[in-house]
Amino acid sequence: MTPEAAFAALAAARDVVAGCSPKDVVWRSGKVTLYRYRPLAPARADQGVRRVPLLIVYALVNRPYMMDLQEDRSLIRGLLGAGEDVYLIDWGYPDGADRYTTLADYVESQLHGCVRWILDARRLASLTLLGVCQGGVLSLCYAALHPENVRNLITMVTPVDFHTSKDLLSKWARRIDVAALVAQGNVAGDTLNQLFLSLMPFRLTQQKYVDLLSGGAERARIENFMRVEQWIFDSPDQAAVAFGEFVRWCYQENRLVKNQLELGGRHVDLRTLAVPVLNLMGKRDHLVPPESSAALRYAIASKDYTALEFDLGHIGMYVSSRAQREVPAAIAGWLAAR
Amino acid sequence: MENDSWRHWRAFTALMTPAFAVASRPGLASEPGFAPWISAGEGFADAARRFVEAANGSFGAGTGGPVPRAAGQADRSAAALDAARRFADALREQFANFRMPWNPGSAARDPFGAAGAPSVAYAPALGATREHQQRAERLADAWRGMDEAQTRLQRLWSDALQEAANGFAHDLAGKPPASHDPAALREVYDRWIEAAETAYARTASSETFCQALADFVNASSAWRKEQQASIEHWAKQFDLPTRSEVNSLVQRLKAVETALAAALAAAPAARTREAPVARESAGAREAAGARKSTGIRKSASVRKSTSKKPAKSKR
Repeated sequence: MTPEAAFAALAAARDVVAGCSPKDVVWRSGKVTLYRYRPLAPARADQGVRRVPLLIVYALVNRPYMMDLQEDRSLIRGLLGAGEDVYLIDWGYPDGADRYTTLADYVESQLHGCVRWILDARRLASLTLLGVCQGGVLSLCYAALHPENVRNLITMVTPVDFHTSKDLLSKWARRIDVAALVAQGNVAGDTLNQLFLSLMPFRLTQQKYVDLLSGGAERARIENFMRVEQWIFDSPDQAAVAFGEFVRWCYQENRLVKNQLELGGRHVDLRTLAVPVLNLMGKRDHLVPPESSAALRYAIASKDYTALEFDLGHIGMYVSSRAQREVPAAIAGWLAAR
Repeated sequence: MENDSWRHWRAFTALMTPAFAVASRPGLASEPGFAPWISAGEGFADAARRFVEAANGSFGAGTGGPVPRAAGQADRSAAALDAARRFADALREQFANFRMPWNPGSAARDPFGAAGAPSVAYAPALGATREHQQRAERLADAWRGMDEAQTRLQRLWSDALQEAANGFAHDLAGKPPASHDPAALREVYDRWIEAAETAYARTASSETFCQALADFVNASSAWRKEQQASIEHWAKQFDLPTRSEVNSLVQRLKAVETALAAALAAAPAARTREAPVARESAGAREAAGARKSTGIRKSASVRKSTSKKPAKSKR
């Protein structure tokens, strides 16, 4: 691709829109929005009664549209194609008014509000939670605090043991004065972007752009790149108190796997967590090493535990073509057996 | 990629960033503000050129084909490794000493110079200006602390670059590029990235680096704190709302919300939910009726028993 062709292709793709599957807003509270995705096709008669809803709990640190980036790169579309009834929480963009929002607020008020709304709406006792990355931690906390509302729990690239040897982010975080960091307000999304880029600076700030220019100028390829690029740098600011709690309790003190975490005065007792659990990990995940996720096996009481490791990186778990083939099918297959 | 990857990359970045083109305009070197960068750039380019020339003499010819291993190959390899070492040293020194010209300690306006920060002799803080003077001193101290922490961190970064360059040279010596065609050049580039990431990962996971990074973040927090205090002081002079005042209001509002939620939870009959938004789905509308019903949820024990069945209809 010549420089002129690259420039023209990137200019043409600058306004690409991420997110492809039709969805409806079904509930809002503060900055939180709960979406329900429309089925790809009407339910067949042999599918019987409607399925247990699946609620995706995304991380606070990025935007959830990564789960539905474009038609051929959409975990949600894959789940819809498998007949799942998919809901998604969008946490919104916290601002200065949210600086005192706590992790307990996110779990006990906002996540719980979404779950209660779905269960009431669908006249069900419980649903399936699919927690992604940090959202997996929130889901684990919720499932431990409200097991009666959770029928199945799926964790995807979710850190559990924050002190594994390959966890560079954790090593960096341990000596930081978190109280001082968040005393000046929310933590900027730009700051987190720099942090994440610093994990593999040569690949993430140079090589991937050389890769981009090394390929052809096909519109689909360039647009795909631009959507991922948009997602990577569309990072919400982090509510100061919740961010401070997460870093201190998880990255510094490793309370989750030590079973010492409390939210809102209640013990998040993972050892009582007995619901069926599917744990999805990326073998080449540089943000959440698979060892960190795998620690879940010994932290919970569930007898029905399945771990699947894919030969993918953190982002590849959502958007790689291999993930499209394997991940939704694995989730749907696991759910079908329960 | 075309043959001349470097030329293409520069052309592309020139298109993407007009500043690249501006920086290459003749005459800018004479401006003191740009001189250190241009000088550093020339130093880097010189070291890189010598390395590439030595590497070409050792690892491959510029004719596009592999070089036969001649009698003087050992000498040329040694020369190439020496050039690589000098290149690595140049990289290290360039980045280790870099300072933004507006930082304390850059009084000489030479961002690559090693000039130390001038010591600031603080006058005794007396009289009506005492608080203002001390506030300014705290801000300057915090800035200096952040600058020093950044310098320590940069030194480690430059160590990683040095190690990366050495590693890359040894990698090239062990497996010279077969040719200079685009595919081979691309492979060399990927090997450089691999060497750089490997060296950086080793440095970045070291105790020294973790401490230096934490020191920098903590020093930045201290500087932001002093900066905010200073801004709030001036905001008050103009009767502008300050962040502290807004924080106080947010905390009070949150306390009210918490008390309200507790009161609603204690009185389930009075519990209200936020209304579904207008564009709710069919399922959501269905839910509106469901919420009016009671006793429709299964107990935990029932759920447990049904969960054991691979119920096709309810899964």
